[in-house]
Amino acid sequence: MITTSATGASPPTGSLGSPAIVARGLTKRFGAVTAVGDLTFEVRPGHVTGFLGPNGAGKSTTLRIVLGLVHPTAGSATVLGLPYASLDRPASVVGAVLEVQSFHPLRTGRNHLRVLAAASGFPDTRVDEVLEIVDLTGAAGRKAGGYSLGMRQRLGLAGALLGDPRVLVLDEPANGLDPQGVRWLREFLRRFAARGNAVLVSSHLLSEMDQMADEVVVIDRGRLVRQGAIADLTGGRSSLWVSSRDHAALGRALIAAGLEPRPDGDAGYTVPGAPADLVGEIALRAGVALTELNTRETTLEDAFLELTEGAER
Amino acid sequence: MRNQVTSEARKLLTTRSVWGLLAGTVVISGLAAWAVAANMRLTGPIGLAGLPGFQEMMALVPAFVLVLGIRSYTDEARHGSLVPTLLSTPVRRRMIGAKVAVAGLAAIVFAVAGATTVVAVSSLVLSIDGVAVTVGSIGALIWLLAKVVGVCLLWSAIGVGVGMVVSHQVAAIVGSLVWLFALENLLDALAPDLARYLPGHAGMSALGVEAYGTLGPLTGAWVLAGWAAACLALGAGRFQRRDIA
Repeated sequence: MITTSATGASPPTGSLGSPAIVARGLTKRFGAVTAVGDLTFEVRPGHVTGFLGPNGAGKSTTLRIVLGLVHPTAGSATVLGLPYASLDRPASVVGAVLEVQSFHPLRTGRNHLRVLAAASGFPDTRVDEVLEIVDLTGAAGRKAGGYSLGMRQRLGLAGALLGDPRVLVLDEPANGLDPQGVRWLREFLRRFAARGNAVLVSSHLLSEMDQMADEVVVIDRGRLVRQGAIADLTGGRSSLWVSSRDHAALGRALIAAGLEPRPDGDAGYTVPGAPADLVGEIALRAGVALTELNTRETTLEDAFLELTEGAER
Repeated sequence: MRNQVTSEARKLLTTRSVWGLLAGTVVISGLAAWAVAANMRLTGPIGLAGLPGFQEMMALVPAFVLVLGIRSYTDEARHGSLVPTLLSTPVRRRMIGAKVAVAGLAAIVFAVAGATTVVAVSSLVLSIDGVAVTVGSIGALIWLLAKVVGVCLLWSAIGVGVGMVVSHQVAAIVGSLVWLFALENLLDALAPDLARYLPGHAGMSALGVEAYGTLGPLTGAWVLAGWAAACLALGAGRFQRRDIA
């Protein structure tokens, strides 16, 4: 449940007909290291946009630039048409969770939220409402330092929701959540977006993102690799999965035939773009007994690995 | 700005550390007052503003206020709450202003608590020794309290500034106290003409502590104010440019 209760907030600036978040040519260098390079993307209202990239791709830095925490070396980012620092009441426009640990451990959950509510002029009644939304009411009087990882995530989300914002920016929000919590988060974000709001969420849980997001922005080494609907990335394409007890021999045979098998688990390979009958023939000629050969729809994970393949980590 | 001040006040009042620092102020001031008053050899009645050694008894209160000011920023940097704070208040100078204001308000409370403790303990000890303690000159008493409050206000601002420059909490607190209680005294032995312009010495002069009183209260206060302005300017400059990564 998410409420739309009055929080005393003035109407946010900008229009939801246009992109909720716009990043143009974002570049951030830390000394000789370019964390983000000429990155341009948009986040549309009414959608959950997944922000994907390998570890160290620059996702967190990008989110922090969007939220005014990190100064870009070049480029600009706006939220509902304005730089974050220029928003009149930012907490009423954007709710963000960037870190699991973002509170004084000796402060109670409720007091942490009261501190944040006061900074934006929200009444304490709103604190109780968001505690209820994230199901933390029972633990609100306990010191936040004693919370589990999942409870910390929910406390962060409660803080983000204080201003009943129109844009959510979340960095790895599913970390530490149990399966029920992950499902709750997914459904919550989808309902939030369905009301015309925008969500930008980074995650390394690609299967989760597959179910949660409508669109994705994929970056690698600070640069945009692809932006688009998940359906466009994966739709209409399939890949072949083949396995054998003699994993090494199968791999050699496929490579020798000019294919590009990608190890997928201990026993098999994903072979993009290869028909099943061809792979069967290759295995037969090589004398490799197959244990499984099937075609499956390309998942977001497959598409992501294809897009970021070759990255040296 | 009022919202930010309210938020900062809530931060201060919702952890125990501020109460620990206040208790420390009261205990140390009380012990200092007891030690000084117990060794006085007074006979006649005495007014509160004329209590011998009053300024010396208050000399440690600014150290607690300094730590309070340092923690105002470093607590947030240490525990990660700086991120939600800046998301609520992205205009950083507004956040700094609120921290300075709330640390200043707390400094007034600390100064009054320390002064009240000194007066109460001194009066009690002297009364037990048979010395009559009277209220005396109200004007002189207010002037005495004003000096303590003013010096504590400036030290709280120095604390906020130091915290923003040296955001590592332990380094900032230990470094400041070592500077205050060791290095300044060392410099005093080596170059007394220079040392009297250092913040600890200037603060003592502003309080009217005679051993450090070469600058006089007014000049001492101006020099301390200069240090406060410099620390805040340096800290604010660094914080404005800092990436919260």
